[in-house]
Amino acid sequence: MTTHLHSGAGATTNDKAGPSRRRVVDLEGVTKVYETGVGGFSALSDADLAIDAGEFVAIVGKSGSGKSTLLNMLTGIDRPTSGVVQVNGTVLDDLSENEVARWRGENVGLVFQFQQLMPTLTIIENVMMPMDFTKSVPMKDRRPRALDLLELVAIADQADKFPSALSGGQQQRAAIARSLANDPPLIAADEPTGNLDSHTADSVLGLLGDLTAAGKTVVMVTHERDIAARVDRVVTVADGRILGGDSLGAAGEGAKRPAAGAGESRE
Amino acid sequence: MRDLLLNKGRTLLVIAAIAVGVVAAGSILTAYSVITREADRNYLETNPPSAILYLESVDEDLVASVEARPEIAAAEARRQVTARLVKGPEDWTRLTLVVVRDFENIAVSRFYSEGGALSPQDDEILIERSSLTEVGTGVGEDITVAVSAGAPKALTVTGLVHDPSRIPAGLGGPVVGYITPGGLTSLGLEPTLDELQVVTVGDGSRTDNRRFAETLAADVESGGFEVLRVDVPVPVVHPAQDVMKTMLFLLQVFGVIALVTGGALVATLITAQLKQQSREIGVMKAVGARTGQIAGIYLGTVALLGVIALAIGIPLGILGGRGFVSFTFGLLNFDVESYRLDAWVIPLLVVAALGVPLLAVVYPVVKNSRLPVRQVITDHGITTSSVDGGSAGRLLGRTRWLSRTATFGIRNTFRTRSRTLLTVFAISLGGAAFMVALNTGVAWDRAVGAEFDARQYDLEIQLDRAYPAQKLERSLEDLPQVETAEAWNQYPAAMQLPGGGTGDVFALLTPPAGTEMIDYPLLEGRWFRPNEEKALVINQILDDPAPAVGTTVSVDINGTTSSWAIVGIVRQLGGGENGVAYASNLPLGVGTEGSANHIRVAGNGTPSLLSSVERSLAENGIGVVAIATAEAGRESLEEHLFIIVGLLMIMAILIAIVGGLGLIEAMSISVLERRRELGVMRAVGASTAKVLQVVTVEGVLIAVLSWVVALVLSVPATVLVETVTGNIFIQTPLVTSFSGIGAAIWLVVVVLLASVASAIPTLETTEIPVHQALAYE
Repeated sequence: MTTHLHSGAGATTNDKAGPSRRRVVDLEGVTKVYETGVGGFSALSDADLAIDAGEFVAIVGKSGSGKSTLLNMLTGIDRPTSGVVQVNGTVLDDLSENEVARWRGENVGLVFQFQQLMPTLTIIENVMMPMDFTKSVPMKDRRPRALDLLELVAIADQADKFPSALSGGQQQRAAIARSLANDPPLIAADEPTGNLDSHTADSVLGLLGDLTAAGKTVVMVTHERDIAARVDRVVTVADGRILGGDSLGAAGEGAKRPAAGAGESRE
Repeated sequence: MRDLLLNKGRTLLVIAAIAVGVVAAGSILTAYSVITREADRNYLETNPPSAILYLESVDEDLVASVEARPEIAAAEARRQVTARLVKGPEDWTRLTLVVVRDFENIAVSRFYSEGGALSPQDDEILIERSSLTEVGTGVGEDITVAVSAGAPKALTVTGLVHDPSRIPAGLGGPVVGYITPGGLTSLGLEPTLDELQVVTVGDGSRTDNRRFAETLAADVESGGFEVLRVDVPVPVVHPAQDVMKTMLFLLQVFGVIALVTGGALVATLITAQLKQQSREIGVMKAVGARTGQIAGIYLGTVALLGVIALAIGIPLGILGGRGFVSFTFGLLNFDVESYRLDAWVIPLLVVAALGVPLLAVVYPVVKNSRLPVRQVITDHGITTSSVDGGSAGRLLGRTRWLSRTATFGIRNTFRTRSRTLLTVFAISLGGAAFMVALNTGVAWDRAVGAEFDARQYDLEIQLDRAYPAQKLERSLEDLPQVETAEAWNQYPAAMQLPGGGTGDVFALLTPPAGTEMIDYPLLEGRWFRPNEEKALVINQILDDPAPAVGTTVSVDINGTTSSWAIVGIVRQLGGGENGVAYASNLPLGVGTEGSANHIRVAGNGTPSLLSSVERSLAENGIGVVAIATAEAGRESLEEHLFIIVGLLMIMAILIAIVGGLGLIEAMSISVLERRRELGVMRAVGASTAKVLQVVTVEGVLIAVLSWVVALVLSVPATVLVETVTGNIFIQTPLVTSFSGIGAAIWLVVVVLLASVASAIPTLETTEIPVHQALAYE
């Protein structure tokens, strides 16, 4: 495999157990209130969350619990009503929409439930798209890099096909390759297996797990049962709050270690 | 109904699209209804003559005896004199003096008082109202009038008249004044009248009128009078009817285009609505709705919007039509008695306004109503069906040198092919109309240019009688301003018709052999051979009869009939409404050999040409009736041109507005439908500028495609419009011309419009937070 995946700028180590792990996500007192026809609706209340480089974190909770809102906060897709969101050393509140878009293109790889590949672009063009937007990869290197990424997710032979010609699992692999296009330190996935059969879902989770092994930080909203066995930490969200004591050990046998200061709601 | 209210913008656009078509169609139908009725009324109320006999003199006894005939409804003696309205030392305008014996009892060619007294004294004159601007003075003031035989004379303007039977001054007609026979005397002319105008009983055809006129002329001659010629006008046809016909034809063409463009726009909008509501359609079908019921809902919606558009469009259409009638009648110098619409107008409008949009949406409505439930209720935001842009999109989108942004935009353009095609079609109609307008303008411009290139003279001088040709040429040849002067003859003439009688009176001109004054292009045949005798070259306007090259015709010239061979037909724009014939020579007994009554002068560009020629002719005792300058002739032709091209441009702009609305709406729908997709782009790092770039590529591509289609459509449309307007005005198609500037202007306009139409909805969408865009369905 020739793909160059880095753990992110400033990462000190690839050793998850090491003491000098870099903080990638730091949410402090984040609240999100949506105005509705019947008044304010609090989707997220006073949430604190810290995630270190190389962690594989699952955010779980019932529908409407606020887990997607939480993910949107740390990807800059949505902005908090109050509180501070700092990701990979950048305080997102200080950035304009365009700055956030560019920052996101360089720092966050997004994976959606329904892949959201551009139907009029081929698979390899979809993977190259974030590179085109951020221009962080020289033009001549974009296609080889995209091919490497497709190789990484094992669909290089589908590179010149349009998304409609691929299965759901292959499309999700393509979406993961796209999320890695600019070699971001953080991969944020919103129910990436929600629309896949169990076998395919298993392979996608394996792929995301491999990314953490390569130093990426992966945060994933999921409904998968038994997810604890596949991740480092599970963050449970209920009624807009991050519940305490739901990290690490609760993951059971597959859980690897606790993450410092994470998984608590400030109450 | 709630859907309509929820999508207010789209609903308003559908209504606007239909309403614009209704306004256009309503204007046209209103104009057609009112113009045809009122123009006929205006002209017929003047009691136009069925025939005019030209004699040396028409006395009251002759009029009385003719009037007493049972076939005659009315008869009157008249005279028309070409004079000058003198404005300054070397400043004058051609003035037609209409001489009327009894202003209190006008029986034929009536005119009406518009203010002031209708019965002028011998030193007074009435002015036709459309000439007032040219005359420059008002009622109660004096004007100076001169005829070649007499000294200038001041006449007091004592009133204005409205004479609907004349081509108004604004349309190239002369200034017209009305005087008594006594007025002629005060101007130094004999107080005789030479026209016997008669109106026959009943509605005879032109052939009937001709036959009767011949009989009448024979009877008059048997009474001891000499009938010099007979003129039988086309019944119930105003001299400026060609202008009206052209305008109405153009209106009809553009009205149909406006309705079709509106229909295409409605189809685009409704197709988008169907796509957006596909899930609702699926749910309705899932709970038991049948295809017919769903189609009924959408067709009913279009019908409802059509009714609303009708309610808005009909009054505006009628108002527009009235405005157009008012504009046209202003030009034609007509009055409108009533704007009442014919009974067929509103029903036809309703059928057209409801029928066209309904027809346009039937296919997409039925097609979408038939989609299987499973297909329409499964939607995950970004469609995953085969949307690679089709073969066109693939072909264009795989070009290596294009950036991916451009590739993306190109493929997106062909994603919804039917909508793209409809949008392209709607805008291209506007573009084609615009190009046709400019092309036709260029064709007319070239026709006028060619005409004046062929007229290699600057002055055309009509003399009061024949003078020795050598004297005429000598009187001008030494003038420094004159390059060449040729002595010609000009006579009124008419061809004998195969069935008896004579055709229209036309001008027969005799240029000297080897003339340098005219070089009209031949449509058929040839010019004269050296020393050729009794040969005629006619222009294409001479069509009563329309002799073919190679045939021989009998021509009445000054009461003498002789045979002539038609050897050629030339293209000539001006030269009189009935046409012109050029004769190789004149038979003995017609003109006096070596004499001429007409001079054509080519100057060397010195501004004082006209005044020096006038002065020199006067000094040599040569009486001038009228001088027509090439410049004034050109201005008159260009006035006609302005009306045609201006009208075309107004209609083209209206249609372009509908097409532009279509582009704006198509881009707005495209952006709305792909809000989530654009959200994803922003989520993976696209800035607003990048998103804008992708959407703008789509808009600009649609614009360029529409421009190409418009360019293609404009070719046959240009040929059609140039042929029809040419045939109506100059009895021959215009030489097909295209305007590169027109095509370039339209490309710039449509690309700018596309850029704006892309930018507005895109910027609105990028203001929506990414998480909301991602959640959009």
